Amino acid sequence: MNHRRADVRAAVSQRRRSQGHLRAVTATVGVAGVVTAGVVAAMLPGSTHASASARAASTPTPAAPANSSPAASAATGGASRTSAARHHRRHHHRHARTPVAATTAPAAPVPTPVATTAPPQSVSGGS
Amino acid sequence: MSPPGTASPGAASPGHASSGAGEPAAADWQALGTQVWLLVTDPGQLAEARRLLEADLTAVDQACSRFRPDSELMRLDTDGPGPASTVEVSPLLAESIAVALHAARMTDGDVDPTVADAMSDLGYDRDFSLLPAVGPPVRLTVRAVPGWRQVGLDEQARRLTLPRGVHLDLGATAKAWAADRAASRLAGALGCGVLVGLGGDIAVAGPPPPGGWRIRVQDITGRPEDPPEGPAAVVAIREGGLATSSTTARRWRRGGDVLHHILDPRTGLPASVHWRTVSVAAASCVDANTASTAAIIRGPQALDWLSNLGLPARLVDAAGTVRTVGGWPAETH
Repeated sequence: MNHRRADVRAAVSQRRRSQGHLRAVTATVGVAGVVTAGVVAAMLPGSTHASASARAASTPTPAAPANSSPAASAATGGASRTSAARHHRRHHHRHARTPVAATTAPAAPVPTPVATTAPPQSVSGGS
Repeated sequence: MSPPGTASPGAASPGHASSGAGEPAAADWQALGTQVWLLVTDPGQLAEARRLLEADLTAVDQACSRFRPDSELMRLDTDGPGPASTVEVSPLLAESIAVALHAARMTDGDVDPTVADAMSDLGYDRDFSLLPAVGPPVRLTVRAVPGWRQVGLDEQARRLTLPRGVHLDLGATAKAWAADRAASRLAGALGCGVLVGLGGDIAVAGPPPPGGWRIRVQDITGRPEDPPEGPAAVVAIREGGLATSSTTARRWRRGGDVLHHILDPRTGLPASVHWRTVSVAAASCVDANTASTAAIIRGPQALDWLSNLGLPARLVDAAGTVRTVGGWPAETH
């Protein structure tokens, strides 16, 4: 059980590092006035896939298959995930040093939904 | 995406037309493995709109389905010799992959198209309607997915490079992109307001009906005339898109584990359920879908992230408590 608690702590710690990744990557952009999450903020609300397409025009160097590194496996109800967490950190940190390109794509206005008491015409839910 | 034999849109349901005076005309059927909703502000255009939408969705299914062995995506050979393969792909598949890579880039990899093998390992390897709800235990392996940066796409030349053994699942973004694409095309062709809904992914284009398009957000998608289960709200939008992601949908049990379809690419396992449902409005449906999916994966940090983005969003936590940000109307209960 102690091992499992340690694994959970490691996983939580890793997750926090992962979510800090955005800040780290943002810092590499170096765009004045772009604050945390600003890279995404500058893109997502008004973005179109077209702005992504130009940047997508790259051919990466294939890395080793992900399963070439040891990954912990646990049958359902499982055992240790420590080696997986180590693998996870290696994988993640490799990407964390990759800078993200800045963009000057204009932001389209984000439509704001308004509340209504009229009956719905359609439904949006998980599917 | 539809399995073989059910790819023909319109086969599962005859659809219907709404009859309220001044209300949009509506039709619904099954395609892409989900419920399709089509609303048009000019009832006289409904039949033609449906014909155009069916053709659109059939083309998307043939290009992007992970569950059709004859789809272009499934015919990509990434298991051959050599460290990687480069192939020329159709304009439609190139565009859908570009959209998926864009979503990955904008979310720092939270929405990643290389989750296909992790999804299959969890048992989701066929159209969800064919997936047994309960089954024997599966081996849960904590392992980051290969990662979207492994995918090379020259969209001008339509050349796709995939490392050996890397497979793509475009399910996270393809439906939203298809909804955007179809709504825009139909509104342009027919000159009326159009709403296209694919599961929880809704795109609108053209002049909206009076008061806007009224959409109820809830945990699991359904028919507007049926009462929702769980917390729900009705909002109206006039443009752009609205998408909902939920861990309460597309769930299956393997042994003692209840699994769902929104995977954390950093573990290859279903995301922890802090938010059970997230709805987002954005300038396009694919942006809304990208943000709602990423919010599920980001957990508590999603509130600040969405606020910083300025995206109106409604988040429902595991206990059913609703939070709203970015100008989404507050709810009082």
